[in-house]
Amino acid sequence: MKNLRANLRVQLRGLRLNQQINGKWYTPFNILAFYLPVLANYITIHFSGSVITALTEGRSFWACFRYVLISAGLVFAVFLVRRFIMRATMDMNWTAWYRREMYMTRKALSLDFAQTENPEISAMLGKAENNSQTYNGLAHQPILIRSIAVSLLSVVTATGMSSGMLTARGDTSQGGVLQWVNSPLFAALFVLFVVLLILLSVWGNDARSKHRFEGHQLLGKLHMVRRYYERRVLNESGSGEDIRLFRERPLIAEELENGISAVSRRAAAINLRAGSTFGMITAVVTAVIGGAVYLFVGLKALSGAFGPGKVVEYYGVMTAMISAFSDLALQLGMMRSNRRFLEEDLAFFDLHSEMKNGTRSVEGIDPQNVEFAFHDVSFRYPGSEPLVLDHLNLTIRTGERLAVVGRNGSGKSTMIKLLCRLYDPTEGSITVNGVDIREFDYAEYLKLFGVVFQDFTLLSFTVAENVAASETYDEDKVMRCLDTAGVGERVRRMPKGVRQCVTKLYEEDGEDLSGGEAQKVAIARALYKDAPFVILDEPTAALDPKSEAEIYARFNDMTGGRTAVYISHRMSSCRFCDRIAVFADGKVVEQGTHASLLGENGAYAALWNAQAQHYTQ
Amino acid sequence: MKKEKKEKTKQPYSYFSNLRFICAAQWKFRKSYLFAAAAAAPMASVSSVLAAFLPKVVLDCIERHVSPAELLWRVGVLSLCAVLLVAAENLLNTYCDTSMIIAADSFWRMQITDKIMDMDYHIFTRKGTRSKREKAMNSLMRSGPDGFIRINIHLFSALFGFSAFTTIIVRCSFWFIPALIAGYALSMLGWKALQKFRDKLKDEEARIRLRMDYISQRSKDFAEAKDIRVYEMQPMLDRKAEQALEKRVSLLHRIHTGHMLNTLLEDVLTLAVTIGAYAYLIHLKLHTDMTLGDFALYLGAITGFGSWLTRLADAFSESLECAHSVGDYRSFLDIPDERKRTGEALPTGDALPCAIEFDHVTFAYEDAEKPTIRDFSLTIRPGEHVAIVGDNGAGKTTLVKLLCGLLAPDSGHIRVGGRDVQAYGRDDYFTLFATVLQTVNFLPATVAKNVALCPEEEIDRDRLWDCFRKANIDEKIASLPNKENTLMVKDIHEGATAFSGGEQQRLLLARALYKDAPILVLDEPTAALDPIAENDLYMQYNTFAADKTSIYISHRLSSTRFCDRVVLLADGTAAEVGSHDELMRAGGAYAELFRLQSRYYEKEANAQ
Repeated sequence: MKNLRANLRVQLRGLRLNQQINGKWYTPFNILAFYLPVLANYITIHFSGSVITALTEGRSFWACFRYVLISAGLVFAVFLVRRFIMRATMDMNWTAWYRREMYMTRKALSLDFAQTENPEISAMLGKAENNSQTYNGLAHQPILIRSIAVSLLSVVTATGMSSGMLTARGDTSQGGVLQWVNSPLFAALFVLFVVLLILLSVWGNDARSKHRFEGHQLLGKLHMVRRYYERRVLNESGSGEDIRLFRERPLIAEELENGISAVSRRAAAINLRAGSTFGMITAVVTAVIGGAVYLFVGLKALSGAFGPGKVVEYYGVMTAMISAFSDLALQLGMMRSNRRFLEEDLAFFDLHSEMKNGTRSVEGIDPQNVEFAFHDVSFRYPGSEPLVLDHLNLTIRTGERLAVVGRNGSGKSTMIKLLCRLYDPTEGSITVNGVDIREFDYAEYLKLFGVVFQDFTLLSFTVAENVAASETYDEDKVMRCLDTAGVGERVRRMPKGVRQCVTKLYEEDGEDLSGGEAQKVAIARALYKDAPFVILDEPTAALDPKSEAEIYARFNDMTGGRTAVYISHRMSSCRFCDRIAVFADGKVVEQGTHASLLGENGAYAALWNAQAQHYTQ
Repeated sequence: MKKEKKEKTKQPYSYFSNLRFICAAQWKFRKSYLFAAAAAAPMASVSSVLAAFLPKVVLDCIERHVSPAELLWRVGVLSLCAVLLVAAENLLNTYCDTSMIIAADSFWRMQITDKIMDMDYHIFTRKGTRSKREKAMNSLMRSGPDGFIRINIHLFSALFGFSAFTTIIVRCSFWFIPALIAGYALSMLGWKALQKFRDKLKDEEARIRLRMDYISQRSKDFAEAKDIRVYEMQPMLDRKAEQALEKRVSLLHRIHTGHMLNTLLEDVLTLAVTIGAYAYLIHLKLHTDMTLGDFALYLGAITGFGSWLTRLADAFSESLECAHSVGDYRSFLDIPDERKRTGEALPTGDALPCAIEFDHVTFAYEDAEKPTIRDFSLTIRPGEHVAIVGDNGAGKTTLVKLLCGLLAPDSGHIRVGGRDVQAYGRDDYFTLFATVLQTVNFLPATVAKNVALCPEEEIDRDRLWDCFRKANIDEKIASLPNKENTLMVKDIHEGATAFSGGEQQRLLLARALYKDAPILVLDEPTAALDPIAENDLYMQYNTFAADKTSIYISHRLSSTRFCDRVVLLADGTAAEVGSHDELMRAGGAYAELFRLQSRYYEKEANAQ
């Protein structure tokens, strides 16, 4: 009972979410669109009975044919309504996938960056996505609700139409079997028999749907493995070279055998077992009840309880009712097993941004005078042990150009993430002109930065939209920023200029940019913000010497009078910065100018010499 | 009817050759499915014919006032038959369904996978192959090869049901058949028109779908998460999704209006047939000695005939569609390879390390305006270490692919160990190379398997750890809870370890060292490494490249210092060749490039 209530609660929450996604008319229209043909079928059955009754009574052609016309008129009216409702329903159903996708997209976009890096949350999203693709959980619920409602309505209609079947009594004066057929006991036994069989079928379907969930989970994993191999390993941009040069074929074949074939066979075995036993129960039950109904109404008709017309009608009604019942059993079972998928979906949609947002605006801050300071900042990534930043103290002053260097994993990029509030410090605080950054409204706070991340990405929208990060932009300013970043000429050469899309993923006539060009557009994006603070993280790692030299040469133009932080493994970049901070083990271990640090002969000198020795004769 | 019309290309396979191909393969893989499918063929249609006769039997009994015992006997036997048929049909269908899935996952798809991994690389990367591969993959999605037997069974069963119902109707009146078919044809015309309309909208539909997919993928694939948040691009993404959805809704509404009109036409036709059938049958019943049972039987047959017509037509078009899918599938498998599988013996013993000679090599990618490698000549002595430098797009990676035998030159020769590369067996030749290439795609398997790249039991653990040490990743691996048996690829395995870019490069290096082949090729192996790690690699390079011929590609000109010779590649040809010192003295393009990169490192360098 408790279980049932819990299930009901989950279903209701799912229903509410579905209504939010698809609108309030979605479910009622669906039910109506699918119930109307059922109703039309009942009308047809009823009047075909009437025609036969009229025929057996020896009535005239028109007396019989009248019923045909009435039936056809009614059915046509029902169909007319149905088709109109169906069109609206199809409009909704055919976009349901997209609406759900959009809803999920919105949810994903509303998450904090920290949440996007949380493997648990990625797993939640993965499950919700998988459910949506395989039509489980939220995606399946409206269909289940519709089928259940339609089946219920069908059973109700059929019950109303067939009530006479049990109560009608024939000539009670006959002896033998036929008299017994008319007794209430016979009717009661018949009902009991049918009810028992239906219960059997409900049980069978329920058991079957449990197995289905088991099989489905196996298949979910299988699809994930397959998607990975097909998208990342086995296509043209995958590992074609490595597979051949390293003779990976037997290994991959073995991995696929274990990860896909074996799983598929296990899932198939489960489905086969469930399908052949439980699935067969429903089919057999339906056939047995069909025979029983014919015997029952046949015997009653022989006893004179009703004529052949009613036999046809009752049989038709009962067949429809039984199929509605077995459908109902199946759908209820599915609804129960769908609960687990639904819970997975709800878990994802229940996620909320956890970042505490302040209220301060940055208006009071003079762009000419912005000082950032890390005070004893320690940080570890959620769920992991080691400290990435360990009591970090660092001040970044207005107008200076700061180079940040250090070994892999010394905390440089993490420092940037904290500065942008993509994560909050585990201990300590970061301040702007003495104010804790957590006190600012986040959108306001972001106005202070233009960042080019190491793994920056451009969207496949137009160049201008990328630079302005918005659909509305000042075209002259966009062009100015592109020029400053050194990619203006390239953009002018594009047929549509700044209105040309980047890559062909969104617009077919988009243009592909080389790594260096894309990097420059990303820099233009950082400049467009007019933020007092520019951060460049490893902007030259993938560039050839010429492009690298070009970025170095433009560095001053690009940053203008702004405060700039430059992170790089290319030690050469330290030469055009005012100050250098050397990171090691999450701390700043040395600070100073290139000359002073080389003089200290410490960590900086080690980094510098490791690289410089190869360039100096 | 709903099927989209595809641009059909002519295929060399006939319908029956496809059927033969599928049956033969299935026979080899799993015979039982064939038997089950053959047995299931007549079931569905027999049971629906039976269902059509049941009301007739009951009504006849009542009309003739038979004894209850006779009714019991007649209806009982028929019902029992129906029950048995249903049970058998269900069992066979479930068995067929599961067999189909097993065959699809374990057999049909594996054939494609195997072909992808086995075919010649240069053929695999051709544009034409790509579309063939995609079509073959799609054929699996649409149950092409695995569903072909099934669809033929459907076709057979529809044909049987159609004939049975035709026979019943003809006993009553022949004229219903042409009338019913004419009605059906009329409604088909409606669907054809709608299809034409849809085809016209297809491109726009595809464009909208592309956009929606792009937006939802970008938003959920968290690779863009940072940029989207820091630049507050959420509203832009949201609005673009909204716009795409609106367009799609208006497009669909037009299609659904067409759908509505068509279905209404069908409704009218169905009703007309029903009214006609009733009129004729009532007339017969009143004026002939037709029994009530026959009345019900004919009525059921005439009103049910439409569904058999639809089933037959659908099964027919689906079977053609499916045969085409099978053709797509076979077209990919039948792509012939060009390279020889066996050839001369590889150089061994004294012949190692091998010399490499590029002799006027030219190579162009298909559709490329100009060759990527142009008249490239270079002789690499046995055991020599060569650095290749040049701009992005100069052809460095292509050169490596040519050397490794992945691509073949359009003209000129590449000789390894004194023999033309083409003389060796394709797969034997690959064993000569240990490579670190730029594309990294680790397998969702253990670290050990990803480095050794062979099945579990063949991994040499000592050698594995030795390579971890050489590649400087041993400490990291030792710190993992499951050591070298830790799983990789977080998307697939919960709890898998994610390695940073630098760590991935070290793993790739370990992999190349584990293979221990006579020729070592490294393509940008230090891009993600910090200066000290980079320097460590430089320092060790001569140890692990000892006794090997090696090629080192990098943007970092510092890497040329520990190589014997430098090749500056420009526009696909060797612009300058010589030792670092020679090239610096020559004062050409290389010297210029080196100065460009090194000027910031010089002691008295001016930072501006």
